[in-house]
Amino acid sequence: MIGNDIIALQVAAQESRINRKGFLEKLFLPEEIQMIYHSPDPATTTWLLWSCKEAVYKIIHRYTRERRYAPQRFHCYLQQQERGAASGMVVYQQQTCYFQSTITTDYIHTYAAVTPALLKEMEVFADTTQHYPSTPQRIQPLLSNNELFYKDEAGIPYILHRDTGEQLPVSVSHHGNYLAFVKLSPLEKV
Amino acid sequence: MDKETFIEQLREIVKPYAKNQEALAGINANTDFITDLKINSANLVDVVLDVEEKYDIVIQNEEMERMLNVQAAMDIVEAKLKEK
Repeated sequence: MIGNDIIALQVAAQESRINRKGFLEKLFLPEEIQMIYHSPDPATTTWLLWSCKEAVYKIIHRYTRERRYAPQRFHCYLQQQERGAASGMVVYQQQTCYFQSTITTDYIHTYAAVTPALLKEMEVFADTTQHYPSTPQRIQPLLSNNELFYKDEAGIPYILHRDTGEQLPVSVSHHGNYLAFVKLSPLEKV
Repeated sequence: MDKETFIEQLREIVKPYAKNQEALAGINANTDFITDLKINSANLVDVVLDVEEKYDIVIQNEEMERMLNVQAAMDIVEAKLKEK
């Protein structure tokens, strides 16, 4: 399974006061808060860790169909962080997920999968240039004629391949004017 | 505290974070913070913190997990106020 999350950093700075008392303590584990405090750019690290939790929440939600606001159940382990990119793991109960993040001055985009192989296989889209209306209208033009974007009763998105009838998971994220999604190609099923 | 009063107070709390003004106008016990009011998930913690401040209570992680709609928030706050 796959998941992703995009955060528009300017929008995040307007929407959230990360210095607010209790904000970090409710969302992050003590080790993660230490990581934020010791970071040269605490705001970016905060949003990087948050995007990891969100991307993996989408994977877990796909499995469990259970909605929960439990960010501290997601343990983030940053393994590599260099200019413009980060990677690592997020552990939720017995499940380990792997993530890759792109970091720019404008946004953070994290995508995650249940195996490192799947992480490499998936197709990643991030569009930070356009201003579109709501999600389905934004996604469909970015797909091939053969692909139909839809959501099930639980609101979980899929792409139906019209020729084969195959349904493959897609994860969609939008924030501010930014849109991102990750999908699996046919033949590369989970 | 009666239900109507609580919902009115909660409406004021969620106002700065709610992106769907129509849903905010029609807020009721069944209103979902995320799917109806379109509060983003990073702002849901602000709702939790604002509720803590307003009622002078501490919401535990296990309670926060299910604080996704107005009814759940009301149940949590009522239980906490009874403990006082």
